[in-house]
Amino acid sequence: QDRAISGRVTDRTSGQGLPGVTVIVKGTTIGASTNSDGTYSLSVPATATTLSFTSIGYVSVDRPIGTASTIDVGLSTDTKTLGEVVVTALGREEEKKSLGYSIQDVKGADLTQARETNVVNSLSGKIAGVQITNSSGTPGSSSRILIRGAKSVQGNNQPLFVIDGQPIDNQNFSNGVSTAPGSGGVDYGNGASDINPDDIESMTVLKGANAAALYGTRGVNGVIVITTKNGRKSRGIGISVNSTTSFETPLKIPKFQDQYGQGYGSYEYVDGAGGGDSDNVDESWGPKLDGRLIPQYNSPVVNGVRQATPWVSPGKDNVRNFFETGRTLTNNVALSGGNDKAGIRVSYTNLDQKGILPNTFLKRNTVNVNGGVDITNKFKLSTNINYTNTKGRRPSQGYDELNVMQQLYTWFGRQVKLSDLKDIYEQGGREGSRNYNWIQVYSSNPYYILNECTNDDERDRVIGNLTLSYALTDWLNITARTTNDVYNQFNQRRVAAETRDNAIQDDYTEERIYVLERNTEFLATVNRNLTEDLNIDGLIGVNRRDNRGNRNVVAAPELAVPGLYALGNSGSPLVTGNNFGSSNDNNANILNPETRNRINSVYGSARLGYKNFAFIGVTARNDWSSTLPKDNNSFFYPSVDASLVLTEALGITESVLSFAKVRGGYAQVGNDTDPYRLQDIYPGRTPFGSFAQQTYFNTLFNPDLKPERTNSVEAGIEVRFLQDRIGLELTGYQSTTTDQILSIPTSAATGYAFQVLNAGEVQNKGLEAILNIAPLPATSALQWNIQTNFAANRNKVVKFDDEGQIKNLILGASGFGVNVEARIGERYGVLFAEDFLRAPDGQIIYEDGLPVADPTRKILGSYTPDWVGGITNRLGFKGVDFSFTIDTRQGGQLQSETNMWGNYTGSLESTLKGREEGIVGDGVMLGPDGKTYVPNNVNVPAQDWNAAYYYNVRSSSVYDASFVKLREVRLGYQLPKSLVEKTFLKGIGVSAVGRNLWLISSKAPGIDPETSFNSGNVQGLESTQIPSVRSYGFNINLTL
Amino acid sequence: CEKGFEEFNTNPNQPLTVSPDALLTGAETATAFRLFDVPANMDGGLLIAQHWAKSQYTTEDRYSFRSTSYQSIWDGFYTGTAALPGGLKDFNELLRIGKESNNPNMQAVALVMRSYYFSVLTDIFGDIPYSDALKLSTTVNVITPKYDKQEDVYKGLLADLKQATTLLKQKSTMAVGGDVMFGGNMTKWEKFSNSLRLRLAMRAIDANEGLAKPEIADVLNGSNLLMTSNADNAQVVFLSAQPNTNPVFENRLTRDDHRVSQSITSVLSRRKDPRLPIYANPAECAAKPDDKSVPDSTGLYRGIKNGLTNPVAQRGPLCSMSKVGDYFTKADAPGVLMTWSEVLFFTAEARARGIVTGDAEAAYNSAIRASMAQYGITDVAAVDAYIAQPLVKYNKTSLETQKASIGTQKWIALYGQGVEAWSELRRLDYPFLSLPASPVGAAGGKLPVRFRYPSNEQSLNQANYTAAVARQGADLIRTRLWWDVKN
Repeated sequence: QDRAISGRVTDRTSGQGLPGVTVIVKGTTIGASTNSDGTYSLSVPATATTLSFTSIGYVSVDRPIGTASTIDVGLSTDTKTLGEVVVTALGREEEKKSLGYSIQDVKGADLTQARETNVVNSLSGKIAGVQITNSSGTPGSSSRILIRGAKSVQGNNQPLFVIDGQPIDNQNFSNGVSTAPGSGGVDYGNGASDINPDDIESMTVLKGANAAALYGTRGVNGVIVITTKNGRKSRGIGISVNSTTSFETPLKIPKFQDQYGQGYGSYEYVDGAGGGDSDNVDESWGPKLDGRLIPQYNSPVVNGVRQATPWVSPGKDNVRNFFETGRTLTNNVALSGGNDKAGIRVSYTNLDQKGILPNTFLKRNTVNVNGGVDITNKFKLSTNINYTNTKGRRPSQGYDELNVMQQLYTWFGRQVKLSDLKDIYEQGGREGSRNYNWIQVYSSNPYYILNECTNDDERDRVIGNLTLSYALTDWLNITARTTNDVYNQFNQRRVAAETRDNAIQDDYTEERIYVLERNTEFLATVNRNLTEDLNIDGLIGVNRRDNRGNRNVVAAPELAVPGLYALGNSGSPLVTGNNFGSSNDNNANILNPETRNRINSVYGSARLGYKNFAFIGVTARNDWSSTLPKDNNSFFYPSVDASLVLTEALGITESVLSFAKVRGGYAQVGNDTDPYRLQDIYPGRTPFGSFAQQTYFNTLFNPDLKPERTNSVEAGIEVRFLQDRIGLELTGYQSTTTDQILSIPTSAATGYAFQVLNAGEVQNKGLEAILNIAPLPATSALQWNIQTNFAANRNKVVKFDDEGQIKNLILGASGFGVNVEARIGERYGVLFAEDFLRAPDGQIIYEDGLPVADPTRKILGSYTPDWVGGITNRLGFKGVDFSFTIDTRQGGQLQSETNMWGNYTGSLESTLKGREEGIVGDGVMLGPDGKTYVPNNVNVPAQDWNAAYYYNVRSSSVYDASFVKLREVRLGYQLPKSLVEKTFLKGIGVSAVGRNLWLISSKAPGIDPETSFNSGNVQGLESTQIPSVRSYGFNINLTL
Repeated sequence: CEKGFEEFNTNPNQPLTVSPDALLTGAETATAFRLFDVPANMDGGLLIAQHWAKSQYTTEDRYSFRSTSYQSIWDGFYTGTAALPGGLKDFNELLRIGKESNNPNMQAVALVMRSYYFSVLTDIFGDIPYSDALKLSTTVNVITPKYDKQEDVYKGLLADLKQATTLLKQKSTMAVGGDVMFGGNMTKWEKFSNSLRLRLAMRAIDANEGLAKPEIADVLNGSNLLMTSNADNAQVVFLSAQPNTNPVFENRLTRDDHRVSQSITSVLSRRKDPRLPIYANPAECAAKPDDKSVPDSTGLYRGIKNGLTNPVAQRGPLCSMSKVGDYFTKADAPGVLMTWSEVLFFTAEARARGIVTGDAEAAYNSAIRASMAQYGITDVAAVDAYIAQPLVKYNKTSLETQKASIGTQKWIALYGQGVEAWSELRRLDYPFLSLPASPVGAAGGKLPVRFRYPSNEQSLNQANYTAAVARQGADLIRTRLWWDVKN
């Protein structure tokens, strides 16, 4: 009588599930192979005694069956045979042990169970040297990924994403120039957020120039190589269904005070616009919320007289209850089928996400077709086509009236009951307006903003490639590949009338974006044993890359018929984004609506292996870029790396030390620039009546640009002990980027605000460590893996121009004057602004009881952390799989406008201090002699003190950005075959998952310090953030 | 490999050539907008000169100015900003184009406009980059321009204006297109050039008499054209259609934080000045509707005190305080750079100081009449009666009393021209204005006498900034400028 056995096979070192492992009943042909998350199930005859687990590159394991129905196994890498195979540059599969640089990967199952809508976030805490910053808790928000520190002072520091050998676009089309420093706008997500986790087999992180030299200009920031699932490995038809449901709530919101309401000292509502006592004041320095009777915005009006009603707090969860519970449903169905000659996988995924802010959502439908066929033994064809449709309704961000957080966190009357505003909006309004609010100037009803000032977007994107390869001989292969990534995005921005941004009439803006990246590539690959001991593995290739972009914005600032959002309904001349310098507030100015550029490349690489334990690899590439001047548009760069497996070279066997390898390498990578930076332009703007208007553009372009260069060295060791139960990888690196092409901000007195030139040298050096431990032996029924990573990067700006005139470079500035800068000799991303004027002993100087600002600005910190790290524990027992990840960022600072304004306006709990008795500020003042300082003894009202302390001086709202987070928890169970076989299914897995569950420690009050507004270089500024979310839910995985 | 690369990289989006006409229009309108926009004017000169006051968000009215305002004034006048391009850079390039095309008229227009806005900048900040400014190009590597002493800036500007007049006296027939100020009328440009030279020379009178006196005497020697009617006024008349509307109008679309200052309503009321109904709108409601002992202010001209705290300003109520007169808030209100009445006030002062001969009082009276006429008040008898009032009548007792007469009437005449009103208030020290109610900014118990340098200068031009501060004095709003000699 047969019985069912199931279980999960994992990598001994990483604990990640291993797909494609052959599981056979020893001595028979009865067997199965593991699926994508490493699980298997099979029926065994009663006579079976032993299960045999085999996989290429791993040491085979036999396990007695006994009476068990669940058998989990951890496999060790086989250092003697082929070794672990990883995907490297250009999608090549290479043995990890032969590589002279560090790479790390994540398997698909880890991405789909505890899933993130933006797959980039799944890497948080799991890869050494990779820092992920998710911008906010809004659906589809962008994520910044930084590998080994920022190399470019000003340019793109994001890695290249490559899917099955195809580079894809990862731009972040945030709406508005003001998004980066947090002054408003919409975040439409970064391009890579379109990648569907369900279709990913594995993600490999190539961490820098050394690993990515072959990718050329864009590999300098590292490469995320994604391999998608295909049908080849399945035998027969396979169907899998994966479904995740999760719920989201705000992770952290500020602590508010609930004792004082709106106004200045006293309050009475008449018209909310200054007609009453403080009734146009959007601050909470008003009367104590003690139940006294005051006419309020929502008090009944009887015979034209507004009745006094109790002045009370709406409760401490007033703001928290404003947020709805977010909900994310993801359903994936994949069909795959194949045999030795061909395979195909078709997958459909639907993502339906509802945000924590009312009326915000993201909907994404993805169809992926991945197939390949061997037309003859020598001639092979494969293709991967991915279609994504994304629809979003996203909230406005940053310090802007259209971001409701600005109102709820700072400029707010603390007596206002938000559920009452909801009723007013939904019922068509008290006082005859759906926008009727607690104040009639400065702020709109938050429900009116979220429901009637919407930012809708829709993106249709096709990413596809076609690869043909032909084996000329058994060692020489020719490949031709064409790849296309093309998308159209349509954004609609509605700003309803009566809002402060748009007082008179409805305002409507349409934006159309078109992006194309096309690569055409020919490759010849060689893999041959030159002698018995010497192997060569190499390639020569040519590539042409074409990029095109189109971005058009048209705005109708005043609609004729209210509520009809269409350009044809414009009541005034349409304003186009091409009209540089128009004074409308749609942020519609786009300098170059249409762009195109091309790079032609020739490259080659070779890796020589000696006796399979000593390896040396070289690469070389030459690019010709259309964006550089004729004389400088060709640039060549090489790399070399070497690796030596000591354990094999020295014949160490049967020792405590099971594996040891040293590696090192040098690489250079060149880089070009954006199009149209060689020739000056003279933009026009709306004619003054009949007079045309033109101006010198504020940027001085440069006809003599030359390519940027990054030189990078890295060295590392990899050791494993006790049959791989302990594994340690250490990597040190240093990279220096020179001749950076910068648009350097200059004093306007030069005649230009920016100057484009080759300048700037940035040095990054760092250390990465990965430590994997399996505390229990392989034979133990309980599997336990601990995976730890640590990375510290030290980033220094060495110089800008050769003459040394330029000392600092402003990357961006917050709306209230905090600069984010690169300064010579300092870490990248310095926060530069006012501190308090201080006495020689460091105490704050007061005048008339109020702190004084120092006119000389200072460095208040840097957003660059000291180190980042993460630890993941995985436990497996009889089909139950439990894991959790904690990660941390230590060091670095941020400036918080939530705290700056929240204290200014009296909405935060911290403003309760001294409300009745006043505040004697902690500091000194000039003594009677006019020379020495004595303790400040002047009592001032709390409102004045808070205003001066938080508004006049930015250092008062700068905080340590360190945090520790419980990033991910997952509890999974693979149902035993004995249960499953009674159904029509082959396998059932269920798991409970949580992400971002707990901000274990943080020093910035009231906010998530992991903050940014987009994926650019201006970071460390927090501006009435939409809170990040805690997510928890469950996942069901069925195979048919 | 590189076939077609140049075509690939030729910008299809923006003009690659510039028309001097379009350059002049763009620069004239952008700089005029900026001169009357919030940072320099509405929340700057007009508050300090106590023409306007703030009824809400009173921080600037209490002398706590935003660093972003200093930045936008500096960036805006030098190069223009991304939102509003056009600045000194464009006038400077127009001068170069004028030289290359041997067009003396174009050169003169460029020199006059460049001088005007350099003087605005130096009057706001003091020492500024001038001789090194606007030089950066692909061949000239001046990334960190040094600051010139204000005295040297003034010497340079006076020389440039003299040069402009010399060029205009050639009476070239070469056209200047795109001129929205004078429609290419070179006679009017010549008048403006000389009038501006008079303004700048007089500004230097207390600091360097040796420099100023010969200049003033030269301008007023009868051989130079000066403004002789309000038709000669230098101004940009904004349009009624966005985005070319007046900045005050633009501001009123989204804000309502300004009211007329009590300082000017009381001065005008006491003199029964016919300009009051033009400068201010009547209050729309009662100050204390519930308190019958307080007279109903509805319909009265009721300014508010400068520098109130937010809570006090709130108690208005807002509708009980006079808004700024419709004349100044309409979409197509003019942005006035210089007027005929100013020329007459300067003439009066030059006569009072004995630099030139003539009847100072006659010039003073004409200046008042010119200002009245500027606002359409042409009833001769009424204006004569106004001038005859003891409070208005020219006081010849001493130079000081003459400065008081001139200073007070000029302050009235310059209503709305915030930067110039503030400059002349600093120089003449008349009228006496009381301190704002609750100043918090570091003005040292006085009215602010300059603006702080924009904070980005500490990042982008640090060494020169530090040198300028070391020479001029601490970078504070209470540090006096060179021409602002303590009396």
